[in-house]
Amino acid sequence: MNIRCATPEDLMNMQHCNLLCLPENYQMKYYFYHGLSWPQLSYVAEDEKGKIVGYVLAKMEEESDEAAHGHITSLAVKRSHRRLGLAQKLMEQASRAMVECFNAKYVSLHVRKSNRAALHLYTNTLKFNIYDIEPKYYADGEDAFAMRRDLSEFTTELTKSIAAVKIQ
Amino acid sequence: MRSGRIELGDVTPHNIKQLRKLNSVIFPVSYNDKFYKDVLEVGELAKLAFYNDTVVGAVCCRVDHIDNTRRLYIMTLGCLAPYRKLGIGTVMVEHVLKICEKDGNFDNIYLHVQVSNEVAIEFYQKFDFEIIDTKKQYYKRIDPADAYVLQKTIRTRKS
Amino acid sequence: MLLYQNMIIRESGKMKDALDHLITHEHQIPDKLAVTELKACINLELDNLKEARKYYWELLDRNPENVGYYQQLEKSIQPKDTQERMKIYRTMAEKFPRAQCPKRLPLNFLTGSEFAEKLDRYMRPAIRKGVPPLFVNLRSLYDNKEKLKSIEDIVLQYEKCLLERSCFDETESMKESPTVLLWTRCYLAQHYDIVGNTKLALEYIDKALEHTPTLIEAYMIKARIYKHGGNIVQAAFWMDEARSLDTADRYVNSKCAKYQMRANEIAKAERTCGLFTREGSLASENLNEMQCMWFQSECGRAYKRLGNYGEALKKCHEMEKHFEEITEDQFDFHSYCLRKMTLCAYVRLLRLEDSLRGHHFYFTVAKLAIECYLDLYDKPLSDGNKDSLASTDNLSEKDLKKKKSKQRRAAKKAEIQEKGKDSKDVNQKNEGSEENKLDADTLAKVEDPLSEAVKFLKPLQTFCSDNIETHLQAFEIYYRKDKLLLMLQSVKRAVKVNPTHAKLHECLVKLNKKVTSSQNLEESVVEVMKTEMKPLFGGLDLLDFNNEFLNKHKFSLPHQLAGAAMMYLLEPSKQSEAISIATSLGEDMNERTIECKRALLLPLLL
Repeated sequence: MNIRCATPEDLMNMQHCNLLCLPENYQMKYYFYHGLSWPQLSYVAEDEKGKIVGYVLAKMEEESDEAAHGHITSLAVKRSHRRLGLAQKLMEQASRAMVECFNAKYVSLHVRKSNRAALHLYTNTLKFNIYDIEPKYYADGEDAFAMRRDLSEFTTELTKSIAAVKIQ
Repeated sequence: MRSGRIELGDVTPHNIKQLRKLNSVIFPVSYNDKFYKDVLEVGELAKLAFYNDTVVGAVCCRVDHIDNTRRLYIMTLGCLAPYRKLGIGTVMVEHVLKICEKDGNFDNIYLHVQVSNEVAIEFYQKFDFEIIDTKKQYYKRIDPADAYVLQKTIRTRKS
Repeated sequence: MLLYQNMIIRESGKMKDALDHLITHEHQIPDKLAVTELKACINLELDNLKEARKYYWELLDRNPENVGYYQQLEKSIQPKDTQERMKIYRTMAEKFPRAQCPKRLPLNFLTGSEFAEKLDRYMRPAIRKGVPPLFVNLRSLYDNKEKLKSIEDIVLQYEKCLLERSCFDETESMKESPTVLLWTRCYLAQHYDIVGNTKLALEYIDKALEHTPTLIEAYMIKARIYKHGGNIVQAAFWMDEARSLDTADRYVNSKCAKYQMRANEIAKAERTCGLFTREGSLASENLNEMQCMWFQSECGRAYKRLGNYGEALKKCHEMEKHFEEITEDQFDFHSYCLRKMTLCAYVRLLRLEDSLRGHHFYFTVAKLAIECYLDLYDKPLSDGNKDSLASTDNLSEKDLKKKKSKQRRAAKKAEIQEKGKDSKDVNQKNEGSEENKLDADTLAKVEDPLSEAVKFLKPLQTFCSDNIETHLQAFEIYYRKDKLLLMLQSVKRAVKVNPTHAKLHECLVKLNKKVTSSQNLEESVVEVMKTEMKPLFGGLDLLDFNNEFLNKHKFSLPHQLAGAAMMYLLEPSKQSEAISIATSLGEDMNERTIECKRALLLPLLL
């Protein structure tokens, strides 16, 4: 298993992986939008043959009145590749890039209220908190939990490393 | 024994077939469609038991009102053979007991056990269930056909 | 912007300048990862190994799961033996106990007892945890017979001890969870499946399912075993069983639909997909809208197998349209990227644009389309066999009617929705209505199938020239068009990719035969063909050429079949001999099934 930053060549394979795994799908254009606006934020996990088995598609919310923050548009790992901690590893990379490249204060995402497994992952493993409920967020009428994760730990780490460079 | 992770999860329309699979393997009796339809409506009274993320057991209860008493009936509680004696049954019984405690309005919990099933009888006795009755010819297609009624009293009514 | 500048400097070959540029501007570039990656890579290129090493360690600290970093780090360290090489991975494993790469990658280069020891340490925790991809993660090691044997020995040993005393080995005292035996058996099932022992594989997976009949992964393994064993109907059945146990998981759902499609159960597959698409519209429409290529190509292939060329071609054209759309989408981003200043990504996108149709999805669809058109050229649809098309769609008449009226309703609904949309996306709207114009019947009644086929061929020749199929397909088209020089070109290109390909042999023979039997050829063409063909046939006469081919590939079924088919083509009187060669596997078959057997076996064996 190999985890790396996504390239434009990956976008079509990410879309394929998304259609296989998740009920929320997007046209290629939306992937291009992400990949071209914030090329640093999306990551893929690929198997030994270079097939994409998981990905995180992320963007920045840049409305001026709010603190800059990242948003996870989509995160998927094929069922056949579960329990390797891929989701967590992908998220760590994306979150760190959000802080370094765009000074993000936190990262947000939506999750179906009924999706216990995902909720469990976000809350327990990835340290997200439920911030709000968005009624009827999904096309089929289901509510979404809006979740957030504070990214200040990455910020501290980053300032430390910059300070270290300057002393050198 | 290295310990595994035991968790309880909801029965949903998405995983109800796992419950059917389980029951068909664990119990000699087969349950009808109505059973599975009702199970989806009872919330916390029906739970799947996960061991290391795999479904290996389940408990299904319903609420009975008989002669002014409110009783919790354990319709099924069981787990796949290789996973017995791992504490999964205990987790399920404790879940049921907790429901009763939280609810506060149950008089007792009861269930049926085939008279020959010593392991089960002993198991429930650990939780202060007692044999209160024997139902002759309770089961239709299995032998022995008699069943004990096991009951645990939650509260005694002052009448 | 600075990174883009740097990219230009690098691409002009001035690595040293690029490095200086990078160091000067480092603090102005927020993308730390890109900067470090560049510093590492440029230093490696400049042979500043010590510097490169430093940066690759830094990169691995960021992301210990990047295989490329390990490879580059090894290049910069140049370990002189396995021990030194192992040191890298040991260091990383200690630093990042949860990382997979430092544990998995050494298995690629270790051998013998060292391999066995590390493998054991890799497998136990994975089996304890029940990691479903354990097998696929080790699969590439199976190319090495010794390692294969080593894996088999270890896992069989596990199973034996687990059965005896619930432990991985004799010395352990702590008993393992019941799931350990379960996952061990799942592993063995996959193992025996891949080494071709279907029977044993099924035995193991059935034991696993008997142990825990609720393990969805085990049903998926069972389905895959049946698929590999060639029983696609059973495969689809078991995948559906897996799907039914967790209907909230789209991955199993997709796999199930794919297997159903492979079993030509198109209607069933669409229903399966429909469980995850928007209610009120047909699954196939929704998936088309979402540019769902896997579904469309599987569906198209199923239609073709059923002889429904119209529907198959419709899927091909829908997919071709996606590629068109995607290319057009990219243009919309031109000014956007310039505004956003994401120039590096933009340049990569431009390059991607040039090769979009090199994607394997395009290859699949183009191949399918060409095959359809070739078939339609060979056997154009008459009105008589057109009617039979409807019945091939494994739908009863009543279902068909229902489906049609449903389609009409859905189309109407889509139309209304389309109208309702605000006209923001005029472009897309036009495409949408054009798409509705795709009509299966019209597509199947194509006037000039060969020139339609060429349209799909051209991008393949440009972008998939290293795939021999491209040139074999090209040959088939030009063969039918009697274009000798283009046939020659295709054959020569194919030879470059793989000179011993079975199918290529057929092309060579057919080409030779066509040249010798053609009359009134231009002098210059004859001359060219003569000189060019000589080296291809080693100066042999065509019959000898075929016989030699048969002798040379005695033990390869596809080659024997190709040779036999050509024997028959060259000398129809030798039909019985050809058949005996083709059936030498001991299977009974009548004369006409030579074609069938080829059709059946070739895709299996290629």
